Amino acid sequence: MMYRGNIAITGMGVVSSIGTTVDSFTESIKKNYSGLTHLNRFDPTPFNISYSFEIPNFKLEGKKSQDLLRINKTSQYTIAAARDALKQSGYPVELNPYEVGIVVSSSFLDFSLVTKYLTDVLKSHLKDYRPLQFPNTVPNAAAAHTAIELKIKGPNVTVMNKHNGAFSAIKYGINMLRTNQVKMVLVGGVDLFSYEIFLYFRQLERTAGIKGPEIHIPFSRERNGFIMGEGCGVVALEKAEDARKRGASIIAEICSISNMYFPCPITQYLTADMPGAELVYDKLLSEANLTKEKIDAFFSCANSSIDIDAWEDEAIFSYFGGDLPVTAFSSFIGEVSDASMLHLIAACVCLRNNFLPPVLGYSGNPEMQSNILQKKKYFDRLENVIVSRLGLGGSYSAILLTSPKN
Amino acid sequence: MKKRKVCISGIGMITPLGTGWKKFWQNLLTGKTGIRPTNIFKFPVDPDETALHMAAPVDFDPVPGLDNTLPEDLYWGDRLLCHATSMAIDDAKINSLPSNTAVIIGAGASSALNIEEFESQLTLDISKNRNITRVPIGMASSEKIIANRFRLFGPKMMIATACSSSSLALGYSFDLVSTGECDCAIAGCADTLCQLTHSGFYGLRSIDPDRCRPFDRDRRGISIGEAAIVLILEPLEKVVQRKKEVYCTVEGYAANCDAERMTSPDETGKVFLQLMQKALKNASVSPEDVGYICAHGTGTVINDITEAKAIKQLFTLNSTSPWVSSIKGATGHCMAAAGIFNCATVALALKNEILPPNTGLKNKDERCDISILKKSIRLNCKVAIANAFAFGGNNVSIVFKKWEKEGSL
Repeated sequence: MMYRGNIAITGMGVVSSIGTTVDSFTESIKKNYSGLTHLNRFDPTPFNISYSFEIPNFKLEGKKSQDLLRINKTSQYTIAAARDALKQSGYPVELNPYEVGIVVSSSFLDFSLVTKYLTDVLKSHLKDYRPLQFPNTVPNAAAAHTAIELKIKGPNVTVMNKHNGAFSAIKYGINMLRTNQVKMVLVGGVDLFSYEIFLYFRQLERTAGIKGPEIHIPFSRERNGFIMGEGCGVVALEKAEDARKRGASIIAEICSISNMYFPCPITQYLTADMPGAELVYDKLLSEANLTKEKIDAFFSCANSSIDIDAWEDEAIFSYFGGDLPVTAFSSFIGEVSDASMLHLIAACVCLRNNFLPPVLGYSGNPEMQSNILQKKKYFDRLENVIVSRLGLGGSYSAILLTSPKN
Repeated sequence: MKKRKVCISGIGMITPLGTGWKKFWQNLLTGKTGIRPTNIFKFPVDPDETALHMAAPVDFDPVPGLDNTLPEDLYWGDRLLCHATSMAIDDAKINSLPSNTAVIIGAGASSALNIEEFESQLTLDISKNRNITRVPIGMASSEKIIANRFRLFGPKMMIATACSSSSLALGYSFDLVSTGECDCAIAGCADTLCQLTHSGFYGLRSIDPDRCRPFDRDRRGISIGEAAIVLILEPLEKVVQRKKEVYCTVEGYAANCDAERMTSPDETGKVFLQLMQKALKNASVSPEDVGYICAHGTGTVINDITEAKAIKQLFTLNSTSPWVSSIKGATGHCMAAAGIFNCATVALALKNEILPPNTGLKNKDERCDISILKKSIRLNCKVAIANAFAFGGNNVSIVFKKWEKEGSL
């Protein structure tokens, strides 16, 4: 029989522009700190922009500088976050390392490193070339380095689905648990802000500052694209019944995950003929055996894009009405693509602390119909929240998180 | 919920041995190789180093008329993938794909990043002494391109585990079909020759200056190949209902990770052994039932010895050991597509009751103490395994059964 029960989150790890530990990340959310900073990763002058949500001065602890040369930046982020998630879970990997898996969403890898590697190859005499960085150019580098570092020998998977990658990874991880491939799985998403990835989204005309002011305020009237961020989020997942059996501390439970896939050009997020989001919400609620009235809050995927924010506002309002509190965590960390696991982790933080953060910088927009929060909202008990993501090329995912049923 | 039996109902192949499974199979069985001197690598090389030019490019016959319907700027790998998908659907004799058909594609450095397009742009920018001005818009989009083309609403995913990517794509497709999440899955991969991959393996001293010769005592490494392979997975019952012959059933799979080093496996063979044991357990099959293993067999010294060691240990308690061959002496190492290439080979071996040879093998390495096929043999094998191991220690093993109308074993 396939397990259909809840999936427990028993550990979390983060590397983000608002904190590189879960504690500092939590404090930043509580205090409404934004990770917006001056852009230092490359010279932004040609693009007439100044800001990013990059992480300054990150250093992976416990590694010598010369060892770090062999581990690319996305892998360093992933190792740090996974190590924290594993530690918090208290799962005894050493007892059977084959029973633990890793799934990482990493669509753009360390693209600057790939560029530098290829530039060196193209410029040099190959016979004399020593490809120290070649192993870091493979798409599965982050997941593989993490397995090596944490000595995890179960299935090791990298998925690529850009903005929706982290939720695809969650789906894959849940499949691993439900088909009994593993007892525990670390699921993460990582993205590194770089010149090349900025260029990618700039080519698609998705970044802020092309058609308006350089701001990142989801749902706002002035929004015109996103400011990019980076980071990594990792969660430790187990079947809830297994986690309870071993006495693990459960942070939150995933009741259901629902995905909608629609044929859509690879350069777009939405198409006119895509099915409505109600299909996703219906499935989400029916699998969780909940009614829409039981949902307390919505972590929207809104990322300061004109079309995405408007589409999801309409979707939420049409299905849940105008009372459901809605926030957009990208206002804290920018658009982090694969690292959107950080949204899920933020939702877990809020479930634990019974509050919902505002959309930073948002001061109302008459075009929006949903109850978009301008101020932090406290709850007696925040129980059920939905977190969503929309991906390039046609995919919309939502996860229903609930407080642990102890 | 009871799991559904899953089968392979269609195969689409574009390989160095020809386009279409019939041409590939015929050439493979007669010991032909697609590895040949090529001049497709554009980087500066020492003219004496002929190894830099040995590779296995595809021998590609386009599906008539199909190119006219594809976007002109479609990346080469995705173009091949569209052709292979079209062939596989035709081969499965499906009039109309179920709308919830999944598209799960294995991704390699070349295919995921559209690296050839990127290399061209980079070369241009370098020559003009400027920063990179463009990155490939289509990167990490192959599954979406296929889903768009066939208007499919099922799960879409790209899986990147280097040289085992496409095996895991097939494994995940198997899960989706067997659990009823979708009624059909397109599992595939196209990985193409690129400088990034070739230069990297060259730098690691892993390219055989001659042709790749897996399990041979004189082997010196891999030859890079390219291929586009697509398999159609469906519930067995559904295919039987429409009176279509199936190639074989997929019984189960396992994945694990060496967690040792990025570029070489755990040389004890224990990790590969655990992998195959788990795959057999998941498939509810005993080792003594296995008649053939399509080995990962890259032609590197360590990989072949380690794989042979694991196979030897797995069957050491049984009176008979299975036949083993690697196709890489014929096709080159097709990187991310290598895993599903092995799966397609197993499907053809089970269906046609012929086991393919280990092309290029002259003198078996005595350290590889397993039964390696020098020539193809006719054998009605019931169960077979396809292995795929990868950079970063990402390993996958898949178990297949011959389909017999009367029932399974």
